[in-house]
Amino acid sequence: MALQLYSSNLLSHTVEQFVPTFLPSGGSKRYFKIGNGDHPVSAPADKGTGDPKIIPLPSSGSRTFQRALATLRKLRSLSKGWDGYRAAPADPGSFEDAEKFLGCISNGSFNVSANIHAEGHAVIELERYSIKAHFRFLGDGKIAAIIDLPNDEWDDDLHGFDGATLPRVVAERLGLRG
Amino acid sequence: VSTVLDCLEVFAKAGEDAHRVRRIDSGAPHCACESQQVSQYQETPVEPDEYLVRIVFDPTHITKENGGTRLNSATFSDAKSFGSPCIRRGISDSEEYKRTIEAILKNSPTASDGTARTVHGVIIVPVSEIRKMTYEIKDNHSTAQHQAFAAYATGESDRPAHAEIMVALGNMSNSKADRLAINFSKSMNNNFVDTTEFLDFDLSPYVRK
Repeated sequence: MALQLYSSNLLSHTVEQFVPTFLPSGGSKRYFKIGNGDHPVSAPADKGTGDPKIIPLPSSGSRTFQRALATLRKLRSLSKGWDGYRAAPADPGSFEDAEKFLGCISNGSFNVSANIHAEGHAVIELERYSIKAHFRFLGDGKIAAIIDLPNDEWDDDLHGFDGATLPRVVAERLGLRG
Repeated sequence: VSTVLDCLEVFAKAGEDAHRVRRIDSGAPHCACESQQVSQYQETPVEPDEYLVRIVFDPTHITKENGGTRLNSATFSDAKSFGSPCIRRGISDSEEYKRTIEAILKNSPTASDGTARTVHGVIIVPVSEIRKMTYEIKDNHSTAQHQAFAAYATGESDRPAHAEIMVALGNMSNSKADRLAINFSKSMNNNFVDTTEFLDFDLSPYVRK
């Protein structure tokens, strides 16, 4: 599926806007709401309402962000045995969560890379200045998260990622207001 | 677990799925089977003075950036689930390298981007380094150091020098186990050997042309 990323900087908008573009996971329509600067990482979950106002995944101008998204979409097709005969096939739910997560951090000016874990989970790694983060999406809204700041290492297994809002601890440690 | 028979059973019952390492760690906590026979195809446990060879595949295990390449987090991500497969340098022969590489490439000849998977090089892992890595568990009263990784001689019928590196999971969270595997990958960056520099086996037929 072709990437549909708009280059406008949505953070500059002072009111919430809805512009058609990004379809996470390349499947059915989903919606991201990109708020104003007070709500930089918030977006509603897809309630399946059929709302035609499709929301863009904003391009932060980061080439690595777009590359990571493209990588995720390639990796999600991997079948069992992609790395040795035991490696698990890509987990569709995990990759869907990873794409939604990308939508939540797309305004953070991070260097982003994507990968796959031996268990078939999508992995997103972020780097900005001295922040280094690693997120493995375990499916069902669970994330194994690592965020390292200078002299401050943190990791935890998080639950309940709704695909629309960054977990508060993640947003705070990444320097994003959630 | 203190007998050969128990360790054989622990590994035989561990299965092949993503819970393999957890089952082994539950059946033989604190790397208890490291000095035991764990495979019917290999009697000799991995010794502390051995070296293990991990084959690095392009693009599966490397990330290209800034004109160079680095090992990525996938390289040892299987250490907490399936076990990271390696070859025991001291006891393997050329045929076993060949069988190992060709079996992996036959099973998955192309990467997700459609390009052919090739051998990028190897990581030579000193077993002594594996076994001295530790992690801390703190409670209200004390701090305990635990061995973080184990190396097992998991020989197979056609590959008796097969070995696996596994995280000694204990009760650790997914994120903690990921951190260990990532740190392990980083620590092995300096142990990477290019295909042209690896002299144990001719890797040239498997490199990207």
